[in-house]
Amino acid sequence: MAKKSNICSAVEGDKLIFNTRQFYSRPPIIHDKLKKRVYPFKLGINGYVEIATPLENPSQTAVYQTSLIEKGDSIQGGVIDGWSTKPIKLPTVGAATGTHSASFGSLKGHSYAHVESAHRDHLQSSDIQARHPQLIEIINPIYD
Amino acid sequence: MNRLSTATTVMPNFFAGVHPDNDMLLRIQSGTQRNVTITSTQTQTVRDNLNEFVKQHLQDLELLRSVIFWQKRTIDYQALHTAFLLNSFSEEEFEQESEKFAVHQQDMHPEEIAAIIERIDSLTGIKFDTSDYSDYFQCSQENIMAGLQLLPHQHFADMLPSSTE
Repeated sequence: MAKKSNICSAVEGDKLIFNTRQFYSRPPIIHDKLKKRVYPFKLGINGYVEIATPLENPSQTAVYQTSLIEKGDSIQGGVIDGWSTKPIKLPTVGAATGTHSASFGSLKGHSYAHVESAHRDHLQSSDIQARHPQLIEIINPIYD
Repeated sequence: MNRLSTATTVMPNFFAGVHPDNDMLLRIQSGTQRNVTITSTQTQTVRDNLNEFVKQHLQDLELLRSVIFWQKRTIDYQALHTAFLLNSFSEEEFEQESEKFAVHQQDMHPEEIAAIIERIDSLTGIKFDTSDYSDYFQCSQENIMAGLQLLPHQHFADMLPSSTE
């Protein structure tokens, strides 16, 4: 399972789960490659997105070659944006780790998420930046 | 009584040669030593500067109006989405209602994007992300990044992925 947090890291799957402290939904766009309507979103403050269900035949169906595509692959960032081909619904509570649960939103249908800016802790800490200039440790989903 | 309020008549050739078209604006300043300073400026120069100021002002107003309309559209859409989350709409109804918000993304010249982003940033001081600008311009984020690359300020460069990523 790949875990990434550098800018432009991305995941793509048939179902993605996410958690965040700030959620924006944006008006739909017609995706020029998929030729269908997608529902864009943005996760602010800090966001985490994980592939729950991979795409079927991702080498043929993923829009971006740079996307992580395996089940469990995840990204984390201060700001994450992306889109879902299905309307985004209310979050659900599920198991995050062996001992913790967390509130997860889900993106159903072909969905995409990518890191727009680095994790806030990273941006605000010169120490973390010094130790991890490009890539920081994945700390989500252990917020609680 | 102001002793400088007396009238003085000057001959038509008083400013001869100063402004070839004889169209000028005069500024008269009384000094402390009972002297008077008269400054002349070509009317066309003042008019051009004022016109340029008004033009820039109107462009800024139009830009700020577009930002307000963009935010209003976003609020309207988010109200619709919230209604869906509150089960006021079924998924089918939401998809139908959201149709009116759907747009096709367009390609824009990076130079145009850069100029507008720089002006919005200067006028509002709000830090927007590349996805925000993508939503505002209704173009791809790759398009936005091509525009950001043309801007010299560091905080725009920080919005781009580093060369090692």
